[in-house]
Amino acid sequence: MVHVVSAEAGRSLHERAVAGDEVAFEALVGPLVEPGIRLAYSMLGDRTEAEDAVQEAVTRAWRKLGQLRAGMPVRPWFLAIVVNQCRNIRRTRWFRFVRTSDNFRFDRGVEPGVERIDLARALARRSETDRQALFLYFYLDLPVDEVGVALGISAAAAKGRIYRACHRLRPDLAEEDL
Amino acid sequence: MDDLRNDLRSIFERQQSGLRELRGTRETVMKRALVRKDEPLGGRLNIAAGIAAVIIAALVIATFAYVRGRSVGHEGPLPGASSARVATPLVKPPSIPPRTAILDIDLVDLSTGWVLFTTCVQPMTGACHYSVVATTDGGASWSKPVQVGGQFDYANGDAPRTVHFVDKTDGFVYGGGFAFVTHDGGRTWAHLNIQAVFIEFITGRDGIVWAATYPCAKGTSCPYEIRSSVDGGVTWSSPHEVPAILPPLQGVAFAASGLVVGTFTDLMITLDGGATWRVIKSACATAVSPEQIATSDGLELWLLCTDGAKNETLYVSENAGASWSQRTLPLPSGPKSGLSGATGLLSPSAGTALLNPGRGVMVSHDGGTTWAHAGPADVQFGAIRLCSAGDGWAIDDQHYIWATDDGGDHWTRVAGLQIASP
Repeated sequence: MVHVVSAEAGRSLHERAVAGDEVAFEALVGPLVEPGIRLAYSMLGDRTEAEDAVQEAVTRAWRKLGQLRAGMPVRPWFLAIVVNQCRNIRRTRWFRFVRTSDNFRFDRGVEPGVERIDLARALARRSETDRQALFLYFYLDLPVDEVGVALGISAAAAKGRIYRACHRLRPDLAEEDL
Repeated sequence: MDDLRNDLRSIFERQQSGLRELRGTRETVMKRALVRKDEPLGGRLNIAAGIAAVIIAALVIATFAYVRGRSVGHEGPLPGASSARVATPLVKPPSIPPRTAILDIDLVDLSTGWVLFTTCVQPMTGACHYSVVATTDGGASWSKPVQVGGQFDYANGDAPRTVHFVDKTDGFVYGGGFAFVTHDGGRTWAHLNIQAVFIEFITGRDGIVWAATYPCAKGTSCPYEIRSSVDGGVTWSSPHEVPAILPPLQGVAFAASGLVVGTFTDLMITLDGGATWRVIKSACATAVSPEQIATSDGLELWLLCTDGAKNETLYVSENAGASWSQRTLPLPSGPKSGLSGATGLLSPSAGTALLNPGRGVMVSHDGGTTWAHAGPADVQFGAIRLCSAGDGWAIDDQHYIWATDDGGDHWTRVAGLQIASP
């Protein structure tokens, strides 16, 4: 589902994009729009807001492309921009009052089982950063080091955060299971 | 581990179901983003932002200096404060005239709030008047009282009893038979321009505000109506009939366009502005009616039932009313309110609820399984209002305002509205 653009494969694209090649930039960042929207939606709970956030993140990515160091993977770098953009949106007072739906939907066809309701409730009580780490790791399938880059923390800190969040959801989980 | 991974993926998949199809979105987002790619980073927006930042910084410094200056020689933080996280722990002299009673409070943030009070106190010496005072500095200072409406007979049970603000400018004062609206923060008030004989409730904030009304004359029978406004009560939607004969006692708004309504017998929920409703079977036993409902997301519902003799039972549903679980109330006598217009049950976020047992506040963070006492144990709270998941006010029986910024776990006495004894 998620297309990985490695540093090796994307190097020439990167160089061309930095030089102002829109086609190269689109090839570099375009595949990351969908995971970006999914990540933004998980944080904002509103599709329009999520798309706006990613649109802004793409613009910022274009402007900051020169800051992407050689050898640095594009995906976590771009997702970090998305996370920051979503955080900016969430800080606004308007968002605090209006967008508190937490993705609520009356979709009876996909009603989760009781055990998943418990897990969903436990997940909802985790901090936002914990939920972001779990979403990136378990849903977008980012490796731990990329989770760290996306969240602006070290790989070790990312692994610790994921483990602690999992442990609180399922206390019998061992760290080596990650 | 695989079980957890699969379960979490399922949960995230379900959360993402609101996105549905993303085909074509990539192209649209990329196209729109690249249109703006050449806009200069240091454009007028940044200059304006820089100027705004300088002004804000100057205001912060000036405010700090002002507060520090006021603190010298004035009353400082009051004893009994349980938290230092809420700012402005100052108490001003009384600003409400003697022989008045506080009816209700409301706030839109920890700085901006209103108090509704009345001259309708015993022994009656004339007609009743209703007035509102406002603060924009967390209670450090208050506006002069502004009278809302004319005079009311002291026996008029339809007189105003509730104040509710949608944002810093748009607000309402209403009772059973009268509703008034302001669009300037409470400086001026006018009759609310909707066709109604009775006003049941007005609720909601910022994005949408709801009004439940009865359109027919006393003694006649017709459905109650719900209408909504997205401009702070300036204009209203066409009324939608409430699918219940009994009056909608309480409404709790959630999310962008959700509303849960409680009647004597059932709960009802709408997600589309009142056009369609789903009736939720109440957990309250026969001859026991819902007294309070609360929700933060429309999925987790809290229901407090009473038999009319203050024998109360608390139920929680985690699936929008499909099933209910009874919870043990933290106090045998159940919650009760000390002031008119008080709220005894609130849920600021999923899993969390506040109960007003009469002394302090009881807070649960595990869906009502366990409760902890919060705030001062020896103070009787009346109205408790939350304006977000974290921020709220309460007023006690001595007319002091308390504030919380952590969803009710800690309360700090921040302002006084002392009323002289008759």
